Amino acid sequence: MKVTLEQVTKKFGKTIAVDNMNLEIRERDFLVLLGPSGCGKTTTLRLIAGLETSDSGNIYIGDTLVNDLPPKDRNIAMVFQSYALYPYMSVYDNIAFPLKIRKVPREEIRKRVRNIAELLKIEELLSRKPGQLSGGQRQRVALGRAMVREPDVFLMDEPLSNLDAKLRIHMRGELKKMHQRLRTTTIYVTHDQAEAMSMATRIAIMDRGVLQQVGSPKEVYDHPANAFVGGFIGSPPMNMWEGDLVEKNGKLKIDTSFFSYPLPPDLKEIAASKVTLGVRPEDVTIDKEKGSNAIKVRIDVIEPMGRELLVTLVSGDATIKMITPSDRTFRIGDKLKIKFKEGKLHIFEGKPL
Amino acid sequence: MQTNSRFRAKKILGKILIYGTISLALIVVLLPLYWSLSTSIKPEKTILHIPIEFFPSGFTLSHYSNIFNIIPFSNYLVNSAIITGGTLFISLVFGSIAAYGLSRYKFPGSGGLLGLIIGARMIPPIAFVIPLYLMISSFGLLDTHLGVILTHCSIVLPFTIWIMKGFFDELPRDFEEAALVDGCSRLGALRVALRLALPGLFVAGIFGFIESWNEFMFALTITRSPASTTATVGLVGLLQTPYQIPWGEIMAGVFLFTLPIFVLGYFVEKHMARVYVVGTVK
Repeated sequence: MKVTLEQVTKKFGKTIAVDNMNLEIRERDFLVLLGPSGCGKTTTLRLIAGLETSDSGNIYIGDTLVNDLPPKDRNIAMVFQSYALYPYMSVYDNIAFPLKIRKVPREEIRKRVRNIAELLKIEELLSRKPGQLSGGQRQRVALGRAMVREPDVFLMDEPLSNLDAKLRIHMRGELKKMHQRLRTTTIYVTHDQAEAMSMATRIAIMDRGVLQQVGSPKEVYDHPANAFVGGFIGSPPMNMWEGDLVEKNGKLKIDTSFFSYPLPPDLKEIAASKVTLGVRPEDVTIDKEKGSNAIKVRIDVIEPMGRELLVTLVSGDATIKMITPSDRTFRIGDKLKIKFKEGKLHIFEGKPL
Repeated sequence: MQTNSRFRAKKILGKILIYGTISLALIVVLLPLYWSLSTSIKPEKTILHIPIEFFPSGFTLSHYSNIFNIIPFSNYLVNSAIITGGTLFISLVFGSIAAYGLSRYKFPGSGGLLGLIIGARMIPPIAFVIPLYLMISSFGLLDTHLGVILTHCSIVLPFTIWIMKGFFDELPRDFEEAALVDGCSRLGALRVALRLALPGLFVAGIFGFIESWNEFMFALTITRSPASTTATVGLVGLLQTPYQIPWGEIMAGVFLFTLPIFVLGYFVEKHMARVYVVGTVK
């Protein structure tokens, strides 16, 4: 089932939590709403769930306008950050709860709960109370409660953030597998860009209530729409410098206060003269030839990351992060020349973050 | 060695202080109870005997059978039970719904409303005996169970709202929101919240029970006949017996009257402890 938001705005007092948002979540999408805390992503999810009412705009689930429908009539299921398992009910009763409310026959309930428990490998936990479960087990039960009803849309509000790092990565894979199997439209909120990149079929990035960009993980990584998206996605973050766009003898270049760098001619359509140059650390390379493009730098910090090295370079007051294979040996204080990979330069209008 | 013995002496002194204080408190609480029990089983002649008989020399249960003969005491107990039950029912049902609303929804004047409710609880009840009497009278509810129940609610309901609002405020909204998404209406979500705020309902219930069961002043003003008179009013009425005050019967009545509170305390205390243990293991 697809979900459509049309010019949706939500205010809390004077704060605009969601600002005139237009978003279409396609059928079978695993859409991740990504952004820093307070960007409005959870509010967006709660608007879709019906736990908040929008001040203006329309929300459709499928072709049904759901603005005035209570949550129970939207045929959605939600997994909460805290899991919100009913502590006084057994695991079985927790999973069966949405079916009992809908007066599904008892035999049918038993069958479906058993199926879900088998799928999530929690059969032996059915008689326990949530208080007797580990974090990962509770997570599965919360998932089970959401899945048992076979809803049109899954809504997930940072469901992995209470798990330890190892389990989180494991559950990422499980969730992805689950989505590939069930193919239910899923809207997933997180502030963790790595989680978003690894799970999403599409990512919607938000900042201060405003939708910044929607696209596949590869699109938003390779072609960030603005400096915010460029800076938010990718770890370590993109290098960014403010500069002036200058055209001389038909050739385009950017002048920053630290260096000047030629730009390919296809970046000409940018209208502003004050721009930000962005380069990802893995697109910074060492220049062994004598070229006019090269920037002279000195090595300041070296951080081994196993397969690669994260090298911090300085040129005047500017710092540049570079990721390079760890088979080369560097020493702090070494002087180098670097350049940026062709076709990997990002020019954004306005200032960096 | 010296510091060791001094430390031990200090420890023993501390224990003496602790147990001494507890014993004193127990005497203050239990002595009247003991006195009513011992008086109720003393033979008539020895009740006002001088010197005072601290330990009864004789034993009789006649006061216990008499109390039911000289006044309709079983009627009174039933009236007390109906009034306490009714008060609890109205206060817990409406109190928890009101508290839920005050806790979950902000509306213009909601803060002031809460202040008003607490304020109502702070005014001494004697201040509104007369207005309440006039109101109950104009409703035609004088000398009825419902009349007394409504006056008791004026005391118990504000307290219930106050207690329950505290419990709901502490409760994460996630549970109710999960219930809403799972298919509950607002009222269904309230049921989930109530189940989780059960310790609060217990606290409010016990308070309301004791308050209503023991209440004397409103019951005295509103009731007339054995059809609605409560046990407190009935027992105090015995003090007006001409010729000789039947102390043995009064004390037998007092003891029977306090018994339910002890039984309740015993069971609820165990249950409360369990609720707290469950609550701590999140």
